Amino acid sequence: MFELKLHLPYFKLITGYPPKKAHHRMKSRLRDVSFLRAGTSNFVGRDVILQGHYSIVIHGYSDQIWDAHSFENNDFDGDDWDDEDREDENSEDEDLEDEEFQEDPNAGVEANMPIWDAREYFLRIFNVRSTQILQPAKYLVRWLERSIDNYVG
Amino acid sequence: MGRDKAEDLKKIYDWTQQSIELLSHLEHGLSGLLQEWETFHSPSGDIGYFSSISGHGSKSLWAIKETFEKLDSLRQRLVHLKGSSRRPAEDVSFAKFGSNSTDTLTHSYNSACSYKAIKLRNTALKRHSATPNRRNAQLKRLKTTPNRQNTINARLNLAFGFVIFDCYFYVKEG
Repeated sequence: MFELKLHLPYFKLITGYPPKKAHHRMKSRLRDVSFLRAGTSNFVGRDVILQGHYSIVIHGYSDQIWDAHSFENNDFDGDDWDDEDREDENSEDEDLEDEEFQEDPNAGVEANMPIWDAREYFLRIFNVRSTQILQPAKYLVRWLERSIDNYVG
Repeated sequence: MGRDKAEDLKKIYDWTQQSIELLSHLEHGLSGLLQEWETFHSPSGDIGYFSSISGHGSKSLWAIKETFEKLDSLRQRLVHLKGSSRRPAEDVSFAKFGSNSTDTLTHSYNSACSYKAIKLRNTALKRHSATPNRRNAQLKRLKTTPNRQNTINARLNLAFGFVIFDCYFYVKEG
């Protein structure tokens, strides 16, 4: 029996976030950073940093016999929440009937051509997910540098 | 000192405090992640379970290492930014400390944020004083003696540079 676990916290900047838009599930994970706009104007909404988290647990009896369970609390995509939920529910059945490309949402690979080796699958996901957290981190740091430079002069 | 000036100073203080606290929070989060990676990646770490992996797995591992090096570079930029964020408050503090005016920066600063300033000032002086007990005793006397206000202001000015340094820890206590 083995178990592989990956927990990746990350930060994501969302600019122009509409006031009072925060879904109740997200409020505790949103941090308002609009104060960094000091000296600038003509902006709509708020600037917030979303603290997200991705986890995956792979467990099984051997390299070839295993299960994977993943969790992510970043449910923000900028669209209306209720509409998005309804779209997801409607499109689920259509997706199942679609015999074309089925994406593994964890690894971003073709689900019908799976990676059988548990450790390889783990490393693949680790790579994909760490790359995904790097991009918003870069964007956030660049944004902070610009904002603070503007204020400090 | 005019009310507008006092408000400007308070804005600078608030901006600095918020910035440092935010940057510390982000740096702390990133440092934790990087520390976990270092533990995983160390010679006695769990990376040993992947020692026999080859092919795509090996490439993934190499790519992960590069990604974490980039994340560490971002962490260093956050540390540098914290230094930049302190500059406005330090500039104001040093500029005012050179002035002979009794209507001091720190008087207004103290009015706006009195509790925080006193709390943080004590922390700063404890840290930087060679004789902390005597210095704190002096501060207690000064706080209860209004006619020595000018001396208090001078001490607050000295402490101001350190106040910013302590903001993060203060917020955590709250």
